[in-house]
Amino acid sequence: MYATNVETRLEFVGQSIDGSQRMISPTALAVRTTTNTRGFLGGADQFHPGPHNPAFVNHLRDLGELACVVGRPGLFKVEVILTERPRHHATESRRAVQVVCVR
Amino acid sequence: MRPLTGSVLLAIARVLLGLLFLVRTTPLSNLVFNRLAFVHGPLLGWPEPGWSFAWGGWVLPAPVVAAACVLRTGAAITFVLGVRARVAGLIAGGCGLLVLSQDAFGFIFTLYTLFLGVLLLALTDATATLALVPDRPVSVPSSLFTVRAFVTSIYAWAGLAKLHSAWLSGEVLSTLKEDGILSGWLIASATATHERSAITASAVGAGELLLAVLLWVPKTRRIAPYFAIVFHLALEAVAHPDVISWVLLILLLPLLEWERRPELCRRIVSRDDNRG
Repeated sequence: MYATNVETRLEFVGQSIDGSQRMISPTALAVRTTTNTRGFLGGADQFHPGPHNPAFVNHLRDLGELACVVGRPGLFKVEVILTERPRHHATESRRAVQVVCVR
Repeated sequence: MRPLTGSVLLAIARVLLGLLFLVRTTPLSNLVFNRLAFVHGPLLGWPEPGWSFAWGGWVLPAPVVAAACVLRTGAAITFVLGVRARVAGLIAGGCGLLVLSQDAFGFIFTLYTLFLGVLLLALTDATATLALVPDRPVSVPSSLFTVRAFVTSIYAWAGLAKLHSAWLSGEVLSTLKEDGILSGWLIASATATHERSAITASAVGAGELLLAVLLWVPKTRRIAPYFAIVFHLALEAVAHPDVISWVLLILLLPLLEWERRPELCRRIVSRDDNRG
């Protein structure tokens, strides 16, 4: 529980059918989820401190699917970017997945 | 008074862990523990409207999850009372894990350990004593071996998880203090300088790994649980980390090997006889 303390940021970049891009707020996703998930997603587009959370890593694709629902209509795909960095350090590690939105 | 043999200590651990399970998985938790252990809804993990994230994507229908919550509570009560506690413990722990699996972002290692602990005690002779409908005893030595192995694994994994530069340098400890997760004079003193933070952090990691060893060495296995108890009391003083300390304090109880202390047992029994 206390072995790590990192800062995490989550971004959702939506791409429309016409090729234009727009950011989708994690807070917009948060209101559609359950209590515990809401706590993690609310304001997650800014770095937040906490232990390394494997749920983010394991569910990036699921989060992308939810972003597709939230970003309707006209969204073609969503890129979910998870950025993690140790506290007080500039070195960042990034994971990203692309989810094609089912129409 | 009944002598504090291994089977009695196992049974006491069953009752205490069962009670902790009941409190932590119901709104009673909100009255007893801090906000880390807050239970939303009528029971822990009760289904809510909204997008769910389950382990492996296996999202169960809401009525199934609700039924598992109710079954978990009922089984925990019979586990405490000792009514076919082996089956009850397996159901309670199994339902606990099932409900936990439905909320990936609500995963807490403490709950995972609590549910595994109940499953584990259900498989031991903890269900054969101090029970309304006792199960058939199997073997106290193998029961104690199982509990010792489980407790050891927790310390070993906790120690291994801290073997990285951010922890060993004391950085993580300092930032946890900055965030107010750790507080009190003990942590203030232990992290007053960078050097002290590094020494404290390294000592905690090394101490956990050492405990995992000391619990098995014949010459130290008696004293090791007492070191662990002091460690958890210190952890409670600085962090209040949900109920993990209480889970481990309960699981350490059968490892105290009181039955190998005939002098102490005799004194307790004779004092009880004198009162009677």
